[in-house]
Amino acid sequence: MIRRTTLKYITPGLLFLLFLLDAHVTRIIASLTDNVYVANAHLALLVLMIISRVVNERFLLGTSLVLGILYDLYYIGVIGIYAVIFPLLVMLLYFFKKTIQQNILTLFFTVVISVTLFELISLLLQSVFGLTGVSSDFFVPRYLGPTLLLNILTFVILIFPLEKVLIGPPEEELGI
Amino acid sequence: MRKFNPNKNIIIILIVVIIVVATVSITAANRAKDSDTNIVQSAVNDTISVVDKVITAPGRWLSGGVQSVSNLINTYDENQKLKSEVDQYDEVKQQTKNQAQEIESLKDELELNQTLTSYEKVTANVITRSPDTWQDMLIVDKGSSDGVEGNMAVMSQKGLIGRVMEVNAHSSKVQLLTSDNKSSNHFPVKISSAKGNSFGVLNKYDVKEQQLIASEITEGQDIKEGDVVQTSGLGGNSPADLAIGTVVKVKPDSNGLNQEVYIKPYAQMYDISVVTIIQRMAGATE
Repeated sequence: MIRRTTLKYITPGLLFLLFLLDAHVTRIIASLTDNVYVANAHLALLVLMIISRVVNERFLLGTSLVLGILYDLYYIGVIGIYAVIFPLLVMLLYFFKKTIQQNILTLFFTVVISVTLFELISLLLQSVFGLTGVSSDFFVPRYLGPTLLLNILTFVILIFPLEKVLIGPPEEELGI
Repeated sequence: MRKFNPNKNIIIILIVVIIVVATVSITAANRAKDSDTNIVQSAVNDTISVVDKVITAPGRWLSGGVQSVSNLINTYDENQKLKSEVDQYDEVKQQTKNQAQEIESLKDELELNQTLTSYEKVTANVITRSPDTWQDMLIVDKGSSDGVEGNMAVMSQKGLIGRVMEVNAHSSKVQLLTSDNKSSNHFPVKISSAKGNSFGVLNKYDVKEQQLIASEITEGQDIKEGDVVQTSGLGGNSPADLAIGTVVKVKPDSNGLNQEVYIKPYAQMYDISVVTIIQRMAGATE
């Protein structure tokens, strides 16, 4: 278990590394299926969701904005796609945290919703600005479907270990 | 309850939207126009690419190990096969050498220094692939300090895969032929049929069939399945005679006026670990 104050300091670095790692996981999966199914890994989103329960909103918004700009620069070369999506998702996570009771099931749906939004907004922004065109028979069955499946699987496998490592048991149980 | 002031929120949202639209438009226009990046962008990209390389080092090492084991297993079969081919190889090699010398001497005679087919190569490792599926971009570890420039053709071992999109000091972005970017530069192609060559432009990719589509084909030649497609070198960015693929089918386009040629690329467009960046020698871009 990592202490809360430490967690805050390592958050930017951790998320940054996870974003890079996600790209590699995505690449490996696409090449395993001969590029027929593209499943985008979103480990970083999962961690972001867990961290959002203990780190304050303003800090995480800033972090996600900076990371979004870096992501845009490195992977696309056009600033303003992921620099919009990441802060939006962070806002959404805090909105859910405020309005819905947090348990494993709502977290699960939060993941599903945020992954779907992530893909949809990125596609929407890019097609609005003419950076890409997309065939509709590609998007849902070969892209969104596998992506959701992969992220549901990673959620099921990793949610408990990640929670344990990143936040640990509630503080009152520890007697702090 | 927090006080809710709709006017203020609307104004904030509007400002954010304006900023986003402005940055996206400016940077996208910049990317399309000028492939060299500014210092900040270049420094950021190079730094991230170094971190990325460190992350992938264990994976690279592992896959290298797996590769060498599978190479070892295949060696015997391969050796048998190669032995049967090597007999003819020497003869062909000598022939090619003689022909190359002859071409050289003829070029000297004509005082031709660089023709459309002459080029230089830069070999680069792929660091990562953009996780954004709509962009189809590779990030490679060679940049302007290694002689890479914008719009150069990029090959994998077997054939053409894309072009250089953005150049930083020590890394660059390669856009694959599979991408559907409306502002990207299209490759001029040459289709060698039995009777002669026809020319066209590579401009689309069929995701379902995994085939490239060339259009604006010159009329007159009878293009058949299996004809070889290469770059023509006419556009000014790529040298001539880089292999692209073979013709799968020819069909009229949606207007019925022009023909569209479907091409099965030699190179696969996923899982690429090493690329060759081709620098055209004759009549550089500008």
